[in-house]
Amino acid sequence: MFVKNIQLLKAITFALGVIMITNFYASAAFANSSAKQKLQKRLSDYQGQVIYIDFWASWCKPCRKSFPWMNSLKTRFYDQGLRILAVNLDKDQVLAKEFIKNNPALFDIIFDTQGEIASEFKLEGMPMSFVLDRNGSVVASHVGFNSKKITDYEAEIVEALNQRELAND
Amino acid sequence: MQLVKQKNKTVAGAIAAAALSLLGNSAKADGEFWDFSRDWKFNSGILYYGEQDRVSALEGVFSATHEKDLDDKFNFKIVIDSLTGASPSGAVVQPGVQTFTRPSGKGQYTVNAEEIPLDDTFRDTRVQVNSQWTSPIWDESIVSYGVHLSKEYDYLSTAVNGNIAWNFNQKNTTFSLGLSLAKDSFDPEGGVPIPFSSMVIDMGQFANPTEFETAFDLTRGTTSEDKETLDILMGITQIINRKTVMQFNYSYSDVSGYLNDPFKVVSRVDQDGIALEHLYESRPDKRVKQSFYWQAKHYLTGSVADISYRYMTDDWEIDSHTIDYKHYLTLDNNQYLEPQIRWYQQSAAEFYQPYLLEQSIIPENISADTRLGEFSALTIGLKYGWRTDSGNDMAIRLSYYEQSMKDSLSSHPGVLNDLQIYPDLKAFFIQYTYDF
Amino acid sequence: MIKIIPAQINCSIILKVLMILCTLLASGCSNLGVKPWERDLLAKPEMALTSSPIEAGLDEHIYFSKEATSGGRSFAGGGCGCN
Repeated sequence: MFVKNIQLLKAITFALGVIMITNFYASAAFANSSAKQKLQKRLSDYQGQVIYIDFWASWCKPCRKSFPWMNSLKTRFYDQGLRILAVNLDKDQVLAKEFIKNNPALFDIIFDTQGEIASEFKLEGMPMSFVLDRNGSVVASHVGFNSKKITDYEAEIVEALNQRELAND
Repeated sequence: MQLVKQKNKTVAGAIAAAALSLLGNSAKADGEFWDFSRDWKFNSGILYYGEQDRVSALEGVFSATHEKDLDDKFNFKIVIDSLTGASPSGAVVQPGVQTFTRPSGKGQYTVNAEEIPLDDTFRDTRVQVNSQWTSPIWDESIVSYGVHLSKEYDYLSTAVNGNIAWNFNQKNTTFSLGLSLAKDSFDPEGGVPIPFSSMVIDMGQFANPTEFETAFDLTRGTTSEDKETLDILMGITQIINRKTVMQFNYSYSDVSGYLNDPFKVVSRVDQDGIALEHLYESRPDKRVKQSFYWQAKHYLTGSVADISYRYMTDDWEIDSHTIDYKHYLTLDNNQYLEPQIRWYQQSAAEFYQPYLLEQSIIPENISADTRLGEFSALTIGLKYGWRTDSGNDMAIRLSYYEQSMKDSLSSHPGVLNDLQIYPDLKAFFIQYTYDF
Repeated sequence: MIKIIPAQINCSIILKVLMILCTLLASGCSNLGVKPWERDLLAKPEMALTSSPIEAGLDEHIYFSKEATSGGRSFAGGGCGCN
């Protein structure tokens, strides 16, 4: 059991070494959370891609508009290397699933019922999104979803997509 | 399920398309992702109010809100209400039959012995329209402004309002400041009565109708009057914890101009309690009110408790307290039940008198309007609501309202001691609301 | 009971109340509240300060025509706190 944990820790540390997230600092509690583990797994799977992390909840009205837009992002930019991760913060997963039924999602959803990932990212408002470049650094973030700012949001993503990944030496 | 939802969207979509063409479509950028009909919300309601033996009213509301983005919205509301029946004229009860002249001067009405005089002059339909625009401004603020218009055959009310709300502490605290200015004008049939003039009643003393009209016109002054109102509202909303939110508001109101009720009189009685004449009332031409309002909502498992308290005080010496409690109970299958109770108490205006004694000096201001008297009131109600299959909300509410007047005078002259001077008010109202 | 002298009320009372509100805001209020993602219950329609504006308007009209007091409620704050 103990040996397994050390191996798991090694895998996470490796992923961390590649991913430098400005607002994300390691804590003792980190390794014990399944939501954080799921996030880590995805982040390591998408190494080298541009990652758009969106924090949402079923009770968040603007999220209803952001979902169709994120679906459209996936359709348009998946081939260029965009990966979308939507972190759900509902305390009751049933409500989140109900929301997804009415607002279908083509992207991955991670359930963070305890809000651990949200705390790590020090969320300032709902909804909130982060754009991670191919090296894993946060290059853009925005609070709220405003249809007037869609062109700005997309510009940030396109800029990250156009940058090449730095070579690992 | 899917099919029903589509149907609903088509209806809303048609309304939305029509409205968008009126308002101008500025959302071309996200036209590919979003179904615009989802930006529209409609709320409607109808209420029937009935007093035992007196007034009954029917009121209908229709409201449409277009929310382009969070806190970026336009609302249009129309209200139509119709009032019929009789309400106390302010004249005092008498042991015998009484005759009164209608406010228009055309015709009379009689009141039975030992009955509180009710004026059954028909009050007709009123139409009101409101428009309100809301949009985010700066970083953490929201501004809202709107107009209001209300019209009855003899009354016109116009108003503008504006307010700003600032958010702090990650939107845990909101401070709001609002202002409203209104101008009302009044054009009653028969003209505006001269305060303290005596009601002219044709009991056969006039040789012909013209003589009566001449006497009647002497009690009439201007043909129309108006009043202006300034309202200031300041408030703080504070999230206490995950289950509790509170609000505290202060409001200041200043109204000046014509504040009388031209349909109301005060009876002048002799020491036996017999009415000698009925004088048209007179109120001050200015009124300043302040109120302090507090509300808290607390989430309990499966229910929400909502309590509020309001204290009002003004320069007419009226003080009032209002306590309102609602308990929202979630039931199975998207249904809910909400019992409500409201307790209200007010003190009398300084110039309120149920009648005027013959030997008293006529005061500067006087009114026998029971709405300015000392009374307490209780409302109990029950609301039942449910969500339909297509996702729309419906509710029905039944309430009972009762006012009990307090007699602050230790005794009454002569016959008035044995009669009921203060009218009872017992009413029920039933309301249906539909949100879609 | 507060007895008000009309001529003097206008500015002084409003300023005093504004000062009290600002002090409340600055001090006590900053410790209260929840994280942005913990507003699930507050976002429920039944937790809105005025959960049924239509009903509130209808009631206000009734009480305005039968009593001497009106108004007092406000509009902003609470809810989901979404941006």
